Amino acid sequence: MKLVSFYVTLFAIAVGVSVALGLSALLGESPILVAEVMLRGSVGTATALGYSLFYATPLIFTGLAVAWALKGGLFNIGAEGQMTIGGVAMAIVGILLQDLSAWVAWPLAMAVGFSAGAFWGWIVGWLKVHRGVHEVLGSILLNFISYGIAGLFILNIFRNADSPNPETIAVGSGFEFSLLHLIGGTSPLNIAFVFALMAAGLFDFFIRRSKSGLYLRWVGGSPEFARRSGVSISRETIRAMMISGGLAGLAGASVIFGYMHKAREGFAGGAGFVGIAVALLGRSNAWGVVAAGLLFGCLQKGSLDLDIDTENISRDLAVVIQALIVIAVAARPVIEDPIRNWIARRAKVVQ
Amino acid sequence: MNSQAAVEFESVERAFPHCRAIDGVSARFESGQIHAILGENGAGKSTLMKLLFGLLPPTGGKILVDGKAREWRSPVDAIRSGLGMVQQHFALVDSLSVIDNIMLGDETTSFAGVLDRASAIAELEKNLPSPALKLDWHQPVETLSVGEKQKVEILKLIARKARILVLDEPTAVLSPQEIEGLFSILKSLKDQGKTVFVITHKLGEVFDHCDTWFVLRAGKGIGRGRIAETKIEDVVRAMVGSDVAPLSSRKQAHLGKPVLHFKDVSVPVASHPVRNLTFEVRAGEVLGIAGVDGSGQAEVVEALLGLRAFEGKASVLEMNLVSKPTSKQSAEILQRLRERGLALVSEDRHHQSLWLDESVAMNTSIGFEAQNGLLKNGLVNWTKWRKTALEWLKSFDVRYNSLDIPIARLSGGNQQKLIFARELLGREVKLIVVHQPTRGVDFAAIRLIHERLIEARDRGSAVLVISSELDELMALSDRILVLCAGRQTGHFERNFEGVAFDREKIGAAMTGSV
Repeated sequence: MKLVSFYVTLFAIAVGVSVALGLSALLGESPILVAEVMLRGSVGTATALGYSLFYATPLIFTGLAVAWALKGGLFNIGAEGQMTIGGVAMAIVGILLQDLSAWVAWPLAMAVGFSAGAFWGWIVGWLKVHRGVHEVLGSILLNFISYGIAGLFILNIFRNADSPNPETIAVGSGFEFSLLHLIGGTSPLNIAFVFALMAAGLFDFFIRRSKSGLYLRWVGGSPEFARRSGVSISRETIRAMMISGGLAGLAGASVIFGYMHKAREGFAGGAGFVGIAVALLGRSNAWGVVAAGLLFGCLQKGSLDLDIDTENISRDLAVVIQALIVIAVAARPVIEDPIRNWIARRAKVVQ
Repeated sequence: MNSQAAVEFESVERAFPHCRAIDGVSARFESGQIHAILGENGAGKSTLMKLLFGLLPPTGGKILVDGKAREWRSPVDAIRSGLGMVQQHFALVDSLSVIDNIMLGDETTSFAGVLDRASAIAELEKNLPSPALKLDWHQPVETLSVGEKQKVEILKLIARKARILVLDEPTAVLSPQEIEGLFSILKSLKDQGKTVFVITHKLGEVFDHCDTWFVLRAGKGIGRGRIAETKIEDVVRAMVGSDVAPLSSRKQAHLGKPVLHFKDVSVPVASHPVRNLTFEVRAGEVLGIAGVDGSGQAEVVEALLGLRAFEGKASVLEMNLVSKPTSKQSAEILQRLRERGLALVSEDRHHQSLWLDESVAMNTSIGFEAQNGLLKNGLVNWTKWRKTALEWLKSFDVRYNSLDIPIARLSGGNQQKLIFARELLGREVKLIVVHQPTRGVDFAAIRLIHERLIEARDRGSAVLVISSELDELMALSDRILVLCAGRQTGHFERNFEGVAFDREKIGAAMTGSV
């Protein structure tokens, strides 16, 4: 039956892509050309693939963040804000500690990013537990506060006065992440992508094997039963939001340390929101999230060339495809239930 | 049997991937009668009715309604042809009024889609088979009792002109008085010429009120007959496949120390307050708490688990409870109680005692990983988990196809046996708190559960049984305390020779008339 879910998800993706290509045909653009441009642009060369993976990196982090909260029955739509706060905190540490060597700098940066994001998530959890503020409301409102805080640090305190851009001064050279030229050619693909895969591995391990992962899912799946078994729902809720926020807090590392080497206004770029779609498409499963993140990364990169190589279609087609996939995934029961029924009807009796 | 058949099954089959739930059932049910569909849990009763109602398609055979072969594509077809079903779990919108719930999905409208409640009410009142079904049409459903909600469900069927009504475990949630009321309504429906199917486990009701019985076992039709021509033992034999020995005779309790002590405990809540309750349960005895549902039982349970604020003094397993616990304190208290040997079987099986989406294996040990030695350095040993599950499910005779199927796919009786296995096995249990231990559970499972509870008592556990089934309490308890509207209205001791308890007096206390 798990296999059914997998194929239905693939089917949902296929539906999303086909409808989008159909739309491009309606707009007078050959679907074959569009598909070719997007494939070439996303995986055609090492550099193209590198860019796709580079785009996927923050999506994997935010997707894991949203997925972790979903496992605990919480809908964290504040990954954007947690990512912003985490990124700003990482940049500040990078700016203040100019002379650190990479061996100390990288783990320190990741620890700071995680902690800052976790703190931002903790506020959401605390508000829910002690003040009855629904996590959707709490997390989305905190997004706006995080933009303000980011602005304070990026545009005021650490602003690079010599630059025409709204950005900070550069981080110490020890904080610059190594690029992965072997896979990514001349793209800014960097070690943060490996960190994202490691995060997915840890996510999977904790969910499958650890007591804390089990209890997270228990509280999400049957809260009243858990409560009557002596589990503190409040503690689990706060902890889930902290870990979720922490994962989102790491999402900015790739672009800040691997590409900009500074924090620029709006560096999160909506990755926190796309992460919601990534988590849903990946069914809150760690490797599902990785796969969905890669797909969305490829879509983002592949669509860039549409501006140049086609007459009537722009890069926004990627957003259209993402939206269609999300709709198809949301409509999954409509597809899935008849298939399950059909299987039940056809099934031979196993004795 | 010469009158017309309302429903006929001809070698009906329904196969699932793991089993054959209905295996060649043939039976003919006359119209204008009350038919009891009996059988153990998992015997296929609900599946058979789902086939009749079009909720599942059969994989073989024919179903005839009013003499015509039918193949429903969905329940909508079945409803149009005059069938109606009341599920065990009601499908009502709590915030809407009675009449709105009845109209929902089949609305009477006047000009421009405006709801015409007045004519819907008039139409409904014209067709009422019994004045007992009359409710305050404009009252919101959330303020109704369980019995009244069930009436709303029946009214929905009447409004849709159902001629064949199926009720799944209709009495599982009702008090004795409400059960009488329900059957008098069903009889009035029968007098109107309607056909009623009642899926149940309770043989007493069947023999008091039904016309025919039909027993399913392992998906096959085992026995069939008219109530008037049948002895109850024959039906029991058909249901379980053998004669059942009566619950072993019991000895006087060997009382130990008090394990649970309530002194002047009040739970000040608006819905079902508890007032000045004093009682204790000692090691080696069974205390039963009797009362109509909603007399404060749920509040007593939550208070003793440390989950609810109360006034007065309460101590459980040598621990004084905090009277106004924070949610963190609640969790700590309950954890410590469980470590000290508390077993809990909650009232609402699906929400309070099971993780429905998860597997049979998961549900067998969840919450007890540490006590069952399934954890090492915070990591779960799944191999050992499964081995433990196999062993325990066997010792409580839980029937399942695979450890990996969702627990939701087991029948109520098997789910309940699993819960008892989880709570009672693998550790020293000092206090057992069970709330509605056998609600919606089949005959054989009830017997097993009762036996295990008495065994635990004889080994020196304190047992607190809260139930609205008086027969159950009288079978199990050494003492019975009666609650009515949150107050203690009676206390009875078991008589070990002759009649154990005076049913009349307990019944009177339950209604507060003492």
